[in-house]
Amino acid sequence: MESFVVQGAQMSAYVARPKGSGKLPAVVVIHENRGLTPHIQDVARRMALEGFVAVAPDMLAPQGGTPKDRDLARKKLYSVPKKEIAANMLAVSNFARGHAHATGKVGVVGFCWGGGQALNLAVADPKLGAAVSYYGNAPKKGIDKINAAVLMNYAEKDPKRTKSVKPFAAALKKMGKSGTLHFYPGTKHAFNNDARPARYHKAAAGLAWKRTVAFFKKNL
Amino acid sequence: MSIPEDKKEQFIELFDQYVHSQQPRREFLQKLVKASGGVAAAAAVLPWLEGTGAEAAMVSPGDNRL
Repeated sequence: MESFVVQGAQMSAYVARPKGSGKLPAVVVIHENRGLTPHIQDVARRMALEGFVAVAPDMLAPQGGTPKDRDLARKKLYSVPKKEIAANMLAVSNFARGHAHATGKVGVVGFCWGGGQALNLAVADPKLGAAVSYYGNAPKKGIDKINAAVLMNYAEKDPKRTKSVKPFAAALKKMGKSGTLHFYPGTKHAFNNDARPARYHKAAAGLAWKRTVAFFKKNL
Repeated sequence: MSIPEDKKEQFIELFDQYVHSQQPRREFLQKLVKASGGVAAAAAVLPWLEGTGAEAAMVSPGDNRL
């Protein structure tokens, strides 16, 4: 874990990077609504092995860190004002940008709650190079401010997020921005989470990961 | 214990409602017990829905390439 201070509050992130390499682009990995879990740390390590400095923040760090009790984590996360989350996300992005082992190019990938945050960061950070959302709620405002290329990995059967991401993707297209929306046949929300067997879809998760990595390699 | 195919959708729907709201865990568990037909059945469904927390990592924390 590496720590940094944002607006007087302590932020911390799990950082993984390949051994011995020179400077690499950074990818911020944003957790689901249960905080920085062992699963998300695993995802960060997978990203590091692809050739990135992976920075997985604990968005509950200012609240004392992700608690062991998953329900408490969810409750705490929902209680943090949106403005505060947005400011902390921007601080994480800047931390990744200035990391000693990073080139200065930053991308973001988030899952579920974090997928929504990844898209919000694309709106808030004009220097962001690439944003990937796995089944997150998409923003309605500020889409015109997005400079990052956007990749959207969504489940076939996830009506709430489909309803949110379709107009978002259409708006990107209309504004001439770079946005690619993929739906994965036979999947439900959270299909990438291999730590929860019910909805994990190995083939779709594998394909989405390949696309995500290729997207970061191209855009960062 | 295997999860009955015809109930999977319903279990996932209950879980989805629970994890994306402020619904108390007790309430979710009560619903799951009712839907699965008993406490023992619900206890078998639970790790399938939310994992056990002991899942193996794809890349271990001590991986020597990192």
